[in-house]
Amino acid sequence: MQLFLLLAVGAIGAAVSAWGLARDGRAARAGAIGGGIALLVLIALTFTLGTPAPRTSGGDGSAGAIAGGLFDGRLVPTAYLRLTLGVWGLDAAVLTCLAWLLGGLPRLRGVLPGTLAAMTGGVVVLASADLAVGAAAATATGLAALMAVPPSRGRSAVAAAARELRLTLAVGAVLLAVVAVAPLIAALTLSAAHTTSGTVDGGAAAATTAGASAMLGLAALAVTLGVGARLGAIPFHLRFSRLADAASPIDLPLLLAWLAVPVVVAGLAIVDGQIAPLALPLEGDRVVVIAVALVTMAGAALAAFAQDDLRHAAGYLVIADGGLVLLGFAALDPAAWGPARVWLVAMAASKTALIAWAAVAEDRFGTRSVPDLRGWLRRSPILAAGLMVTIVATYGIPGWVAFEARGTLARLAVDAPWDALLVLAGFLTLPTYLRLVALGAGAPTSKVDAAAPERIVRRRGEGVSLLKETLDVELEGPPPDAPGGPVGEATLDVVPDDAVGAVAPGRGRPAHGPSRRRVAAVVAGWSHDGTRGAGRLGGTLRRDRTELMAAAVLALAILAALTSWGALDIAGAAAEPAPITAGPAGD
Amino acid sequence: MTSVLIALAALVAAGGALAISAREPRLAALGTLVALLGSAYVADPLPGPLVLGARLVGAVLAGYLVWIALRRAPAPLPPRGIRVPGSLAIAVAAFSAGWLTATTLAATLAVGPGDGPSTAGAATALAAGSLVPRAALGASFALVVLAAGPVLIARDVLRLGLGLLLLIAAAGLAGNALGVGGDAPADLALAVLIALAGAAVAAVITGSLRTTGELDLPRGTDRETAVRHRAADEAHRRVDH
Repeated sequence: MQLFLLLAVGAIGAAVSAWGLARDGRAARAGAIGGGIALLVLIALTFTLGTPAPRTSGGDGSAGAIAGGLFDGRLVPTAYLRLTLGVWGLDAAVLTCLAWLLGGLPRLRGVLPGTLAAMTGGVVVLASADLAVGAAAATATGLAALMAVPPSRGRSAVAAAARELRLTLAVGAVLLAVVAVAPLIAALTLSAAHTTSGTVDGGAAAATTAGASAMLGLAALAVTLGVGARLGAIPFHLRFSRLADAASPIDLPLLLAWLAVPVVVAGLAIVDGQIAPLALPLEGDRVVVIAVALVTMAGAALAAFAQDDLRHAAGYLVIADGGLVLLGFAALDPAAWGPARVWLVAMAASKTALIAWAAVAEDRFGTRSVPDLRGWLRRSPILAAGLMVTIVATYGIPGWVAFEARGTLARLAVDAPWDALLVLAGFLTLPTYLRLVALGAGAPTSKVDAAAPERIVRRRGEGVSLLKETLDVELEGPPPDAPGGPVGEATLDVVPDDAVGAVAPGRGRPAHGPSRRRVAAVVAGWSHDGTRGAGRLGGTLRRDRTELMAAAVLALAILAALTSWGALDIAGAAAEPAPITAGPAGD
Repeated sequence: MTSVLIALAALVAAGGALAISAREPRLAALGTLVALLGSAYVADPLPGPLVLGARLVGAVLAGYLVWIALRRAPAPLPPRGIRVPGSLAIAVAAFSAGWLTATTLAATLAVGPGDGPSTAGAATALAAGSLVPRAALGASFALVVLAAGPVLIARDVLRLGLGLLLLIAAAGLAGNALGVGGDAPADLALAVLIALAGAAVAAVITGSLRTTGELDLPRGTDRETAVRHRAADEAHRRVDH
């Protein structure tokens, strides 16, 4: 029943928020409130999800079917579902607040309905006891990308949406085809292998075995490359950069990190459930996947270091970490099931924090150029703490589940001493993080200098003066490119200086022209929220916007660190045999 | 009944050919609808009425959404790629290849595993000598080959979207031909996926028509916020007031 409620709340919330936020005024407010409530209910339901149904073991001692759940055991709640959805939901709640702080309701148009729709699809994938259902649901989940990059936003959005559509449906078709074909080929392989060991026409049977093995290898490779394409693995990495340009920065965690989770889980289930148990000699295919993973980790780390565009650098950091996920496929060993799923959630959580940090930095300092961010750390201690914790969450500490997962995946993929090379490749992104930190400690650039330092302003008088000034600016008339129409993204990005900081009281520095435009732009976005009704709380939120945004990043980073540490026994939950590999109770 | 289903498989392949080559956008959408609708029924044994109804609704919804998205589409489309006779020829060739592949598989299955592990469950109808799975695999091959061009070398959003819908239909046909069969939840999930995919294709087509007034896929990165690449020492210097 709770599973059904999860699906119903998620679907209704996504529909309501998509409908409302596509409009202005009351409808937009209603959509945002409806979506927000649905998200909170979803989180509550997730954490109170009943204990996973007890597994009924097979008579021969093998893993048996799972009893209970929806549709005659076709959808079964699991601990991994609970934890993954819980982390995703908490991330989404913080991101939603962050999006509102960044630009009011227009910024929620993508992230809120898109996340709710994706979480609903994710529930089906993670609870599915049927590979075909899981593959179809994972494909449908990927279509949520079109809610975050609506093709009506401009030419680049049309191109980005078309790319997302192509990737999602093409990968989905591959998954569905492999699910359909693999059982037959596996059966042929097994029967031919049995014949080979017997006395009947061993030569022909050996040829059949080799042919079927090759086809299964190709099927595993197709699934892995499809998943790799979703993760942005090299050579499919260009999509990430273009997506980063076309989408709002606050939508990128969903697009780059979380939407990959259902597809990876479904792909892992197909490979680990249908191909890996056969223990076929697929060394050639494994080498290809390992090479792709290694090139992805090294190449993306290098690209991230060389990039001067903050969004692109963050995107490449996501790609580099995605390379580790591919090692779970390269292992072709059911033992990789647990570590790969642990790393998947830890990666999504840590990259969410990273991308949120980049979005806030871009908004505060009015630039996407990394060199222009010199000195950012001095002006933003809370934001700096957020990045530091994100770095810790990314790599983990010996004993943390994310750190152990790195080593385990490398060991399962290749033998010693080559596993050390893969582990090392996983740390190649460290110089990029160090570059950001070192750059932040330098002398501030004019852009950084113009932004206000973080400090909580609590005195009423100052707050009132700030509000007055922002509203004065609003009365002067919003800039022609203020968000309010369907396009609000680029305008916010190109207007420099921080809105609140530029007029922060007590700083003794008048707001610059661009700052005033910036304030007007943000207020224009907030005006959709009915600012008068918000009262003192709204004023406080505006006044402390800078600190609140940094605190949101820190909260995301702490959540990522907890995930990386292994809170709530995520390692145990990830390692449990999922219903998608055990089959429904009805079978 | 078998001959009807084989004819339906041929019709599915013909619909796919029409989808990728017709110059009238709505004719192309109609071809896709035929392919989506027919792909649910080329199965042996036929699924239950609930599943067939769901697939019918999913396919019709997808086709309808694409259809109404094309209201303002320019027609006819500029001549590009292969024409209808060429695509029909490709469909026939791919259909034959799929049929022959299925025949080979059936022959392998007919030899039997002896006393080894059984292939029971997978491709039961094919092993039993039914012609419907062969037709289903033939249609699946035809749709994959036809869709490959528009999907891999996408030049307009209409052909790309229709090609992707054909790929999903082809995956469903492969499941009909080689899968276990009779898996109602999987068929229902596929029906939902087809409907959602149709909605997504329609959204992209509508967005393209609203933004550019045409169906051509925009090229180039078209970055709205340019970031100049430069060395760190070129960044803005601190200015003391």
